Amino acid sequence: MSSYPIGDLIAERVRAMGVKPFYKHFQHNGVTGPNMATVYSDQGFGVRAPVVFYNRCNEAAAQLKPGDFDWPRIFSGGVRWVHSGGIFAALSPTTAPLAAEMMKAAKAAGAITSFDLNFREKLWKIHGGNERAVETIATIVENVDVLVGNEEDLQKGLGIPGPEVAAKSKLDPSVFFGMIDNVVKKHSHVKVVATTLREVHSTNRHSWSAVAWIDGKTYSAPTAELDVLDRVGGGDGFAAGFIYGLLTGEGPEDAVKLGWAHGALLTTFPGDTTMATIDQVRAFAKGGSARIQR
Amino acid sequence: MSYGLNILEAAELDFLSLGALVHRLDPGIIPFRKATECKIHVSGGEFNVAAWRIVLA
Repeated sequence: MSSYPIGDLIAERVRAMGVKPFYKHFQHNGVTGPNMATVYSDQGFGVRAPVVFYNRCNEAAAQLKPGDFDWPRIFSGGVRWVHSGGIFAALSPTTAPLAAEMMKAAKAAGAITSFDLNFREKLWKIHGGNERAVETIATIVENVDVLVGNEEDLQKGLGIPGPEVAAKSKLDPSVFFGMIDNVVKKHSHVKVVATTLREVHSTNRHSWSAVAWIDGKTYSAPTAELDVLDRVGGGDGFAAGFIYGLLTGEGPEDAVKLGWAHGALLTTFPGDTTMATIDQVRAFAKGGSARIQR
Repeated sequence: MSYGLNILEAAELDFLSLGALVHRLDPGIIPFRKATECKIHVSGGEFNVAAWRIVLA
């Protein structure tokens, strides 16, 4: 966390969401940083897609490195689930080793570990390209139980060969499931691989589903036709709801549906973090509708 | 329900994530090259997943 007004603003929102922070603090020099990254993203409309670009110049998070956090102390009271993702791992040459260090410590502490592959070619181009990405991500995944990622993430992030069957549509899970054998061949300790499926008809109209391979069996959520207000955060919403389902002991199919429902609801709110209640998520997961609730 | 995972029943921390916090500037449906104002959303993939706990729990 960088000590300047943008850092203060972010810290305030973290507090508001009830998330307990473990920050490494950086002193902002008032001119060039270290900065909290800026994402520029309009919402688009109809046939006009959203346009997203970044300013990650001198980003504080990119300076994080192994040794910055005392994992044995942080995990000393026990931890049930530990998570990170591919965008953070791609920020600099030191962030992936830090994520790998955390995953190793998390496994030693008895936690379940998950990693959202979220492959971003533009970021990896800066740090050695696709080959380097696969080598680097493998050092993290060797201590990961649960992977979140689509076919492209599996292909580019894990170096899994491309699909041998052509997908009938973006909602056809056969390509994704067809790659799981190779994922498990390469990373035999992985127990769960999950992803969302999204067919974009227009910026504000998506067909939305989700699937998971859980300990050798496959599970699918239904397909919903979504009227999308703001698509950013839908994938994170799926991961959040799915992990919630697994942490609370739901059946595997119900866990997938909770992720699917939470991701769907996320697209109806402005912003990236959830505003959904558990009752709304459960109602939609069970086939609820948008009929007014009085 | 095990899912092939050995999930601890209880611990001091339910969920911990590691990632970058970012702020997203959102001018709504107006493209940035014509925008005169925007909203600020605090985000970051790992934060977004962690933020479920307070709302969903």
